[in-house]
Amino acid sequence: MISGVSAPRTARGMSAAPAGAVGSGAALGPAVWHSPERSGEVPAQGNDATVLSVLVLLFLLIAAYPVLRFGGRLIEGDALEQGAFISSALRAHSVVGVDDVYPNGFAYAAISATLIDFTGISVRTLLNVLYPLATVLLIAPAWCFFKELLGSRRGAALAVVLLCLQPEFLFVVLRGSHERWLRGAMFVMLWALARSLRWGNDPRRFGLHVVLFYLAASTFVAVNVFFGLSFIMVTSLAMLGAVGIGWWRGRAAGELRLVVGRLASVTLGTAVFAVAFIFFLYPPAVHSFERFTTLAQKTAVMALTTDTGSSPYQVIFTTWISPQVYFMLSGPDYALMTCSVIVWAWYAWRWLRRHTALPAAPVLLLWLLYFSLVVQGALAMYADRAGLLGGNLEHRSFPSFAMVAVAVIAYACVQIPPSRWMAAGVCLFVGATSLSAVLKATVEPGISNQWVFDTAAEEGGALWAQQHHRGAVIWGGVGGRLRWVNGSGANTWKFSHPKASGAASYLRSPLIDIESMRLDIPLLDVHPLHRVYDNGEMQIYHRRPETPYER
Amino acid sequence: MSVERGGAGVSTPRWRASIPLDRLAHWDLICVVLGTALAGGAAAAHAWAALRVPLGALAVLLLPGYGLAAALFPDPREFTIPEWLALALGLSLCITAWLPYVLSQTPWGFDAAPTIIGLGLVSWATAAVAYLRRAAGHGQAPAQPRGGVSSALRLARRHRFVAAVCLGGIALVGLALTIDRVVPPPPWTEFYMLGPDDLVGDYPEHVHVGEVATLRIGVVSRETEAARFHVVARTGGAVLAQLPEFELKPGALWQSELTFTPTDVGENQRLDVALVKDGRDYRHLVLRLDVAPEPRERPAATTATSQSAREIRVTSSGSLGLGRSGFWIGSPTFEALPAPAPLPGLSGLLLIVRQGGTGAAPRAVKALELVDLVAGKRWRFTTTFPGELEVCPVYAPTSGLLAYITGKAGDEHVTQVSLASGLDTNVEGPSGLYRDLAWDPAGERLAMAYRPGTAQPWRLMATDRNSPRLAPVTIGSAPALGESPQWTADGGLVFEVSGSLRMARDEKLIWSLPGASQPSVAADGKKIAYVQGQGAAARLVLTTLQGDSRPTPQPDEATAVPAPTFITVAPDGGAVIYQSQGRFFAWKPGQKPEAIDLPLDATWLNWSFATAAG
Repeated sequence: MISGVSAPRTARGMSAAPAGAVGSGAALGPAVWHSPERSGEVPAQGNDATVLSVLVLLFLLIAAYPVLRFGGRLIEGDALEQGAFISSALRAHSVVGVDDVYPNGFAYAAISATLIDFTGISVRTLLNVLYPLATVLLIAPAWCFFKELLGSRRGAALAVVLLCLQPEFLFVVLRGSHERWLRGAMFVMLWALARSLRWGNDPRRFGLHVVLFYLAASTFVAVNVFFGLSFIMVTSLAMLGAVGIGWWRGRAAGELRLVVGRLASVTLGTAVFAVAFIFFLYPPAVHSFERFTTLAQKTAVMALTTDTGSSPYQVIFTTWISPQVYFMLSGPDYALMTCSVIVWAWYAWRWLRRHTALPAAPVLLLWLLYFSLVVQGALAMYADRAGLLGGNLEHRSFPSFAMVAVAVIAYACVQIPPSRWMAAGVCLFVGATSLSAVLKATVEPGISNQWVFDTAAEEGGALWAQQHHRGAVIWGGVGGRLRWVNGSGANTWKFSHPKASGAASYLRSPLIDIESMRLDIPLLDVHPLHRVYDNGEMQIYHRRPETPYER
Repeated sequence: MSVERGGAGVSTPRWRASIPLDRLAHWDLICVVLGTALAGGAAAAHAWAALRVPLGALAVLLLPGYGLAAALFPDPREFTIPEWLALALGLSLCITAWLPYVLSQTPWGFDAAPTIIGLGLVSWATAAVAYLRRAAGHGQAPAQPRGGVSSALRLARRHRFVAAVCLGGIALVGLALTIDRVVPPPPWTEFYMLGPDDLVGDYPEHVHVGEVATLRIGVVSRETEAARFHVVARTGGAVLAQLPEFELKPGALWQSELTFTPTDVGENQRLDVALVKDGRDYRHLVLRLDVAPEPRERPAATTATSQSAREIRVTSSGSLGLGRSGFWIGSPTFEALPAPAPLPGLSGLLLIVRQGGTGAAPRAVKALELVDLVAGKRWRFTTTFPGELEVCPVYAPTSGLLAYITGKAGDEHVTQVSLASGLDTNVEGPSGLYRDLAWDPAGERLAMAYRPGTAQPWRLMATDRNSPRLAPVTIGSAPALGESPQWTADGGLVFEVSGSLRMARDEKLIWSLPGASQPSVAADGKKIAYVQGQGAAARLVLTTLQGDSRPTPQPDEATAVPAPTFITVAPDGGAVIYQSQGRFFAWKPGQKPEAIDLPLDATWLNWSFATAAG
């Protein structure tokens, strides 16, 4: 036995890791005992690194696409909002107590501002170039989480690949929002939670993994406390599910008791920290807490009135060039939901009917997390209908679901013996699906009406317009691509129909013209207007005053 | 070269054997220390981005976490390489998230120097702890004692693919970061014209034959190298004026005045102003001109647009007008209302109405308006620029002060006007969003809800008429979050937060009333109306404020009202006006609510009582 590395706890009916296994063998041993392919796999550190390198390469190619496609000029709402908070932190030399803070958490602004201090790059370069590429680091905790759950290198690799093909997951981690580091912290949390299950008989290691969990949880909550509260709900539901299984089977197995205990403690611990964070460490987060009271009010309105609420999916008819394109690009999402539900239900049915013994604790944890995330997804659908949080909770919760659903599918896939044909099929599937996933995640302008990029000339023109108007209404195109300039000056920017905007000045560029044609919105005739600015790509037209009182 | 055999049977050059290999065995911790130092040095020296960015990313996203992980788990065999990587990322995020939080609480603040030094110290300290723990036998170094540099090279050879991916990744990051240099965008040199105050507008578009007109022309070079330009103004193909050639370096700004004299009479003439480079028109501006045959005076109203004085006076038609910077309108009565007043039992009220434009005008002009319900008259009170807000007017009859919110959406300010002197004062305060203004019964103090941006929670602010500067309302040392503030007779503030009413006075929370919202306190501070419950189950409550301005436990009056809004207690506390399901109602205690027709058209935004009931 290697000094400092004790043998893991032995699960019922399964063999422990060989005592002579060193290095990674000792580390991987416990996970192997519940592996579906435990008989054939020889853990080796080099192989792990090689597989991880392939996955990193795949993700790097995916992450590089939006950077190279848009020349580092990807702009979207969340990135703009977070960019403003980062700039505010840099200006105020503080992440708390400044006027323009992100009420849900300070960590993303803190991490980003620290990176800017070290690298010297601009906020926009950080969000549009460095961050999408740095997102590749998420592969490591994702791999560890999946491997801990599945105990299989093949299963972990498959799960990571499937996750990389999920457009909803790619969308949230590749854009400028806080979710890339939120997902990173979440993977580490879940990995630490799953890994702690193997050290029940080793208090020192168990304690270290608990510490590891809470360090990651503190980051998770500090990035976005609302997600932290959602996580508490997920672990609570998972714990209730585990208690329900124990009640159904009549006698709680050791694995089940272990899982229930861990879920109970992390729920309580995270909840205590979240409350401390909201009410003591970061008071602006109280705002997030109050949203739940809004949910109650909106629920009452939906239940007691004829208000039909909102539907987040109404926008697909305007966001994409056709609903067919949307549904085609969303194929991986629907496939993930369908396949994972079937696999989950099939195994759950077998275990609940006592046809087979309960699986090992990590697999049990996976199944419980899946159950609770499905329930959370259903609640998110309801909350979206109530119009809570801008009606995008489904979008927000789906990546969490995907993080677990891919593992459920991978669990089933590793039961099938590998073959060349299967490998070829996987490669074909990955090739075809990755393209559609990337197109959807980056809102490819060829098939989407919601463009999320601009050019340097457009930025220059918009900034000039902002600086050289005082209290004017300025029209900046119909798609809102230049909306980042709104709010940074004394002018009001309009991105609606140009004739109805009542603007004093109008911006025009080839992209604005093409975007208007795509949305079938006629452009204003600029012939009678002054042309007051020209940079070769963007022109600014100024309306002649119609009364002596206009400027 | 002489060699000696390594322990693994591999030839090792003698010079390599002379390196203290037992120290190099801790190469991972050495990397943490050196990497952090190099990243900090590169940042301090403002080194080339290709060096500074990868080092900085490592020093922030991986090295501190690796140091902490190594300190927690000194045995390198505890984890595989991917697991160490995951730990390094997860713990780095934790350190990098919380270190700025801690620094923000210190005198140094979250500035670049303290952050770089602080993160470096954390990385070094954790690496030192890891070294000491390993030295104490808690774990072993990752590399074999024999081998050192050569073993690292062997490792790299064995994992050629991994190394290739790492190098490829670094190359990709470098390519992406320098993409602007690899594929430079076309130059977008800026060419523009401005009015006399360096803003867009006020161009000389109404001129006369023979009159000299002036345009302010500017160029900002976005070329990659110095370039020569000149400016030409043409009308109908004929050159009307031009400026001498000039040279601009990349990024340089050039501005000059272009004077021209129109020669032909005609409306909507086109003056083309071109920036010429290399003998061809490079950029192009257009000014539309109305050229009159003879010089004449400019319209009087144009002069009025530059008037900045603010005044209140009675106009020739007998109505009240308020001057505003920019232009001034003393509007006569423009709309008659039915008399007597439409509010049953509340005659003599004067409302201040925020009125929107008609929508038919190309630019909807918005204004505050006064409505005299007794006389049946209505005046435009203020006029503002399109896009500006003038909302939430509240009038204090005791001090004669009118306060309202002005500015642009998201960049709002509070203004108070004395109707006696006509003087207006901008209340000094942070830019952001304001609403729910409320005067205290003496008309001396003004409270309101404020938030810096739409994502922040509302908090309470207050000001005093003698020192018009906004200060946050605090409870203890914390800012009071909430909205809809209302003053009580004893100087307390009733406000709504998290679905309950609270009252605070002298920085102390005095009472709380769960499940209540939308407070409205009468002008004398003795009665309060609020909504109990939500939606269809809501009740409108009118009750007396007792000691500590605490509502009576049993409400004086209550009536079921579905989803009431715009709750307003009449100045004497004798009635409550509210809106429900799109209609206005007046509710007097002991009677049923009665529908009323307020003189508010579809574009009204909000309103308030301006005088006490007659």
